Parts: sequence; structure tokens; C-alpha cells
Amino acid sequence: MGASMADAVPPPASDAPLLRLLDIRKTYRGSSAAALDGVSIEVRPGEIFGIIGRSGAGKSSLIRCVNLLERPDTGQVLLAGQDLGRLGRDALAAARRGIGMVFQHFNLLASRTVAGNIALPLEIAGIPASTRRERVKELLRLVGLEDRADAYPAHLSGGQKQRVGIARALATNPTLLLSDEATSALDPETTAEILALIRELRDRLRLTVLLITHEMEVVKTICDRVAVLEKGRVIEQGRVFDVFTRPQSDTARQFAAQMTGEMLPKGTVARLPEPRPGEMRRILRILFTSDASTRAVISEASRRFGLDLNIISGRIDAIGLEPFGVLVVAAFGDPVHVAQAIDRMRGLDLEVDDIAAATAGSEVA
Amino acid sequence: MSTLLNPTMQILLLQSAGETAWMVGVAALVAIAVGLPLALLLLVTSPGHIAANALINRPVAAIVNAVRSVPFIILMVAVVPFTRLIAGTSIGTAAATVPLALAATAFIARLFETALRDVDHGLIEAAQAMGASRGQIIRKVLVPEAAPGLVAAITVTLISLVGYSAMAGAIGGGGLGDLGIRFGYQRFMPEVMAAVVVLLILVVQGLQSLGDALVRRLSHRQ
Repeated sequence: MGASMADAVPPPASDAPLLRLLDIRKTYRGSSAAALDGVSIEVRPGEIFGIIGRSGAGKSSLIRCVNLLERPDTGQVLLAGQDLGRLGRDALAAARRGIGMVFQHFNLLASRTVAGNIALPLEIAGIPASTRRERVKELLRLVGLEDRADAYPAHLSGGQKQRVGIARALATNPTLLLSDEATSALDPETTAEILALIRELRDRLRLTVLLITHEMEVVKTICDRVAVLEKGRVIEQGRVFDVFTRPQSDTARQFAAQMTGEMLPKGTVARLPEPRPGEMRRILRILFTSDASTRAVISEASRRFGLDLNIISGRIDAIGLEPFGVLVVAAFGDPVHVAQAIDRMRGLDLEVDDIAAATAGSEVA
Repeated sequence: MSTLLNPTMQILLLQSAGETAWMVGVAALVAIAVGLPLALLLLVTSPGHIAANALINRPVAAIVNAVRSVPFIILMVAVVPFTRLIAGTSIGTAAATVPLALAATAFIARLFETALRDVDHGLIEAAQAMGASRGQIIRKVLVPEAAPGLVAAITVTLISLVGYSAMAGAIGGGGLGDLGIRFGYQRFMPEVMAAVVVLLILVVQGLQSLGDALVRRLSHRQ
């Protein structure tokens, strides 16, 4: 947090990150464990960056540190090179106008109409009434709520409320939009609608989005990059496709499993035949991501290595626009041949994971 | 009523009703004008709030609680020097209004504080995220969002004031309650007592209905 360091930050180049969090730490009073334990992330202009984690992982604290609704104990928040932590009250208020925020429970004022809610940040920014009216109209059009301008939030559906929340967040033309579990209170259909709206707005307004969620669906649908947060630490980050097709941590693997559904249904293993004497059984999860996925790897393994292959489950899906396939098979055969088959598949650029292995006589699941 | 009460008593009844209206009205106006800022102060300086400050919060809360602890009949007598300072006298309707206003201010401040505290913290957070100042949060979020609760608090206070004002007779404040005691009870005129009670019931019912209607109008929660 050296003062001289912050002054030395150069103006951002066009591809420089819009937002940088540097070693953010926060421990709540009365709590022994740190809520945020040295989090550093960079969000590039125009991208949708997701932070996924289970409840209690520190997501909520982290996103609140970005606009300093919560003050980190140590660490820096740099928005376009500006250290927000060093700003005085008025300068921080001005900086916050450049950061929109949408909330899980919408946080709309019940006493104001839709138009009144959207006008609130404009009033706070001291924008004159006539300009405000025009801008509110524009924003209503942007989120498709022109006909509900005079309705009160109590008369809106969840999806409509979040549209108001988004319009309100964008009222002051922010460069960064923070989304705090914006779709977690919505049903799946409405979630898809709101996510599509956020992506569309990102494209149209060249917005940068930082979102937190516990839903894999959200990350998979709209995020470009993702960080997996656990116990206040980023345990994995990168392109969504990479993180969830090649998860390194248990948590990421479990989130990936939510998406690909390749976990073994209960009882599957018990129903499989035992390996014959001298043979072994391995349950493999094969991930097809590249062009190699067009090869007939299963029949090849069966032919070349003499394996019996039993397909347990399979699925084709996409992350963003990148398709992938997951196949779970039970492979029976000579241990050496099974290992060779796995090597062969890996050589073809397939991801092969051993989910469960058993040799004759010993059941390991 | 006019057939039951002789003309003198009718005039007295009207006069007393006017005194009650004056005492309650003035005390309520003072209570609202002073109680709202006091409630806001109590709220925003409370721990974890937008201007948390124990050095302000604790003494103010203690004073409000102290005023609320003293039984009204004792408060009236206890604040006589203060009453003289404000009203120039320690007896009469104007003098009775001073302790009434004092008690009502402490009473309504706590009710207002509760109503304001009911405003979802998420709304304050949303306003902060927009770059709102503390003043803006108070004016644009806390007070408008709490409006139905504030009106309900005013209704309760007005009704309590009508009751308290009956004790004003102890320091010559007059009013309906005083009339009921002096004529209805002490001079054995049950028809006066009945008239006073019926009138008070009508007033309280009217205030409550009016308050409820206003709360319904202000509330957009459905």
C-alpha cells in the first residue's frame, strides 16, 4: 500500500486491465479466519469476468471491496489505474458513479416507480431534471421496460425488477458493472434472459463486467474468464473453457461436474460386472475438446488393445461458443493394455481422468 | 348531545375540545419536528450504520430513555422550571403543552427510529454504490422508504397524546379529560362524563382511520 507506488502507476494502455485487485485481505472483527486472504485478479476492458465459489468463500466481500462498500484491511483496488482506497469521500463518490452494481435482491426503492428508481443515481449525481427524464427513457428502452415506467416494484416480476436494477446501474454510464449474484433469486428461464441482456449490454455499451455467482450455469453462459474462490483465496483462474474442462482443484472439479454432469450416478459402479481374473476395470472420464474428438477412439481402443468398453454416460455441451464432449466409460482388460489405451487417447489430445479403478478381487470406488 | 347537556356545558365541552386539540396539535408538531432528526441521529450513529459514533449515540440514547422512563404526571412537575422558560408560566394550557411535547418527542423518536431501521440495509448499500452522500441517503432513501412507518408512528403518538393530555388538568391545562374529571366525576354529572368519553372515542377512531388510510396510500408494497 505504499503511497509512492500508487503514484507511479502509469495510465492504462488500451489492453491494460480496467480493474486490478492487488493482494486484497480482509478479516472481520470477531472472526479468526480471513474472509479474503490475498486476492489478486485483473479484469480486462470489455470482458465478463466471473468469480465463482460456494457460500462463505468470500465472493460477496470481494465484490464489495471493488467499490469499497467494504474496506479491505490491506491491498489495492485499481480502477483504470486509479487507487480507489486513496480517494477522499467526494472523489470516491465520483468514482463510484463509474461503477454500476446490481444485486441479488434487486434493492429497489419500494417508494419509487420504475422510472423513479432509475432516476435515483442521476439525482444523486446532481443531473438536472430535464436531462434525467431523457436518460431514464433511454434506459427504459435499453432494458425493454418502456411500458412499465410508472409501475411500482411491488407489481413487477423478478426478471423485470432485475431489468430495473440493471437500468439503474447503467444510468450514470459506468465503465464497470458489478453483479452480485444478480440471477440467484430468479428462475432458470429468467436467469437466461437476464444473462443474455447483460451480455448484449456488454457488447453494445463496451461494458466490463465483474460478477460473482455460485451457479456454474452463469459462468458457463456468459463469462469469458473465471476465478474460483475458496476460503478467501483464488485457487484457479483462467479462460472459463480451460478452467472447467481441465479443473485442477477439487472445488473446480465439482463445479465442472455440475455443468458436465459426468459424476457417476449412485449405484452405477456396484452394478458393473467384476473384472475377470488377471484383468482390471477402470472407469474413465474422457473429455473431447479439440478436433481429435472426431476420431473413433472408443472402437480403436477396443480393437487395438482388446479392451471391453462399456459406455456409462455421455454428453455434448458448449462453454460460450466452444463445444466439448464428455464420455464416461468402464474399461475392462489387461492392466497393461488399459494403460496403453489411456496413453494413446492422451496422445490424441483427449483429457482422460481415472474416476474409479478396480482390480480383480479388490473393489476401489 | 345538545339535548342532554345544557348550553353552558355545551360551550365548556367545545372549549375543552379546543384545548385538547391545541395541546395535542402543538405537542405533536414539536415532537415530529424534533423527533425525526433525533431518530435519524440515533439511527445513523448506531454501531455499523452510515455514521456510526458511540460518543454521540450513547448519551443521546440515554437522554431519550430517561425522558421515556419518567411517568408523565411526574414529568409535568419535574420540568416546571423548563416550562416557565418556554411558556412563561407553569400553569395553563400552554404550560401543559411543554411537558407533553417533551414526552411525545422522546416517544416518537424511538418509534421513528424503529421505522427507519426497518428500511432494508440493501437499499442503503445500493445508494452508497451510486456514490450517495450520507445526507442523500437520509433524504432520498431512508425517509421516503420509511414514510408509511413514520406515519404510523405519528398516528400512535397522536393517540397517546390525547390520553396524556387528560393529565394536563393537574397543572391547570384544561382539555377534555380535565372536564370529565371536574364535572363528570367531582360534580356528579354523568352526562358530561359520557359526552367526554364519546367525543374522545370519536377523536381516537378518527385519528386511527386517518392514519391507516394515509399509510395505505404511501405504502407501495402491496
